Amino acid sequence: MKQGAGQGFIWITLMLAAVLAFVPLPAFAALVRPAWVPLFVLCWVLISPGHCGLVFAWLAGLMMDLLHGSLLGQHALAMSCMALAVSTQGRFMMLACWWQQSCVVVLSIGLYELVVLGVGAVTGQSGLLVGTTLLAPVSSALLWPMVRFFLSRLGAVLALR
Amino acid sequence: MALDYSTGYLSAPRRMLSLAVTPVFWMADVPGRLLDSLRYLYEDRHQLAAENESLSRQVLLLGQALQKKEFIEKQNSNLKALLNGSVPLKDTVTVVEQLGIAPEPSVRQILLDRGTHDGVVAGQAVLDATGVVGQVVSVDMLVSRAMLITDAKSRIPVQVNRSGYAAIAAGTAKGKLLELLHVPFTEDIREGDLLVTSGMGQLFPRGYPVADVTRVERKKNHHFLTVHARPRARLANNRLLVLLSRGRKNTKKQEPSSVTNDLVNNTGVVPASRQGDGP
Repeated sequence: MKQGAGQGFIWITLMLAAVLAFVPLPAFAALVRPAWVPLFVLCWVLISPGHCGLVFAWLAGLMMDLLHGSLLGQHALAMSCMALAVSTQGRFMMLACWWQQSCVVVLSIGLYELVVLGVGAVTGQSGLLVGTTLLAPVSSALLWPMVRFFLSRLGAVLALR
Repeated sequence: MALDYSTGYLSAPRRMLSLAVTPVFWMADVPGRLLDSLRYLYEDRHQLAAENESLSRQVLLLGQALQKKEFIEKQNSNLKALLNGSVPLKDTVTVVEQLGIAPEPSVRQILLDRGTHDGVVAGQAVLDATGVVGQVVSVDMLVSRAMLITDAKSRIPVQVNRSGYAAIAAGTAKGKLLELLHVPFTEDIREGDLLVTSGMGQLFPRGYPVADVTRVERKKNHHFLTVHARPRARLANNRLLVLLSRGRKNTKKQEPSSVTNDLVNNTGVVPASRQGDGP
């Protein structure tokens, strides 16, 4: 019961992230809009590896696919790649200081964006790689300490560790 | 992924699943709505009254223009009938609301609040008060996505209103302007020309304004003229939009207009239809 409620809360936070990702912004702000959903997924995968693994990341990616109207599996693949990379290679980062963590976040969100763009380019479904694509991982990394603080508090309250 | 790309098997499950995420769109739309209502709360009475005044003035002017249009349409239809003219077309419109904008900066799409549930199909043209906005590209159960004419992948058949020269207007990577493809050097096209839909390709109905030509350039080592045009419509900045569905009926008989308002194509052979109140 408790387990299910915890999962429910995690999905509610993801929905919230999706809303943040879809709120209309002026053009310049849209360029630096952080990748909210991958950021939240990343955080949950690191905070509670017991509950949030690859399947969780894949489902979250599927949600992104539905939201974007993209190929079913495009974002899911990207999200799984990111989660796999972080959960196998990135565990140490929870002990590092915040800017080192942010560097890892830049890399993993960058990986996510690249996979999305790559699949899009192969299938002719999405836009091109432009310099501004790199802004989203950076702004996500700057937000990382805050997101991590709030989500780990939430995780502690829900006893998800 | 391959299944979705190469076959259509997943479109039905996708529609069902997307129902679950639709609330996200509604919630993302809330801040904009709140801002709008706040504006109404704090804008003072005089300003609202002035806006009301100017709007009713506009209605008067438009109504006056419409009276003339009815006469001209009648005349046009008679002339076309004399010439045994082309296939008559009648467009029915539905008013839809814009729910959001695609969050990726490189993709120029808007989200509309109607889907298959309301009879929207892919390929319908989207218009606003001033011109063509885009076309519906994908439809979910309750929402649909429309590609703006400035999207890098968008192509719209247009013709120069003055000379009748037909070309294809493509979106650009920057997403602000349109570009005419493959215009020969000899073609008569000037800055300030109005581009209207040509109706070729059967996707967009004929005669709706699309863009104004802003720059005509003859570049060295290019085989064609470089022609840029600025869209007429306020692309992603509308709250209310109009969705065109093309009824391909012979309108020799007068048909009572249904819930949707009749919009009569300029070029079709259509008897001057009664104009109800606007939506």
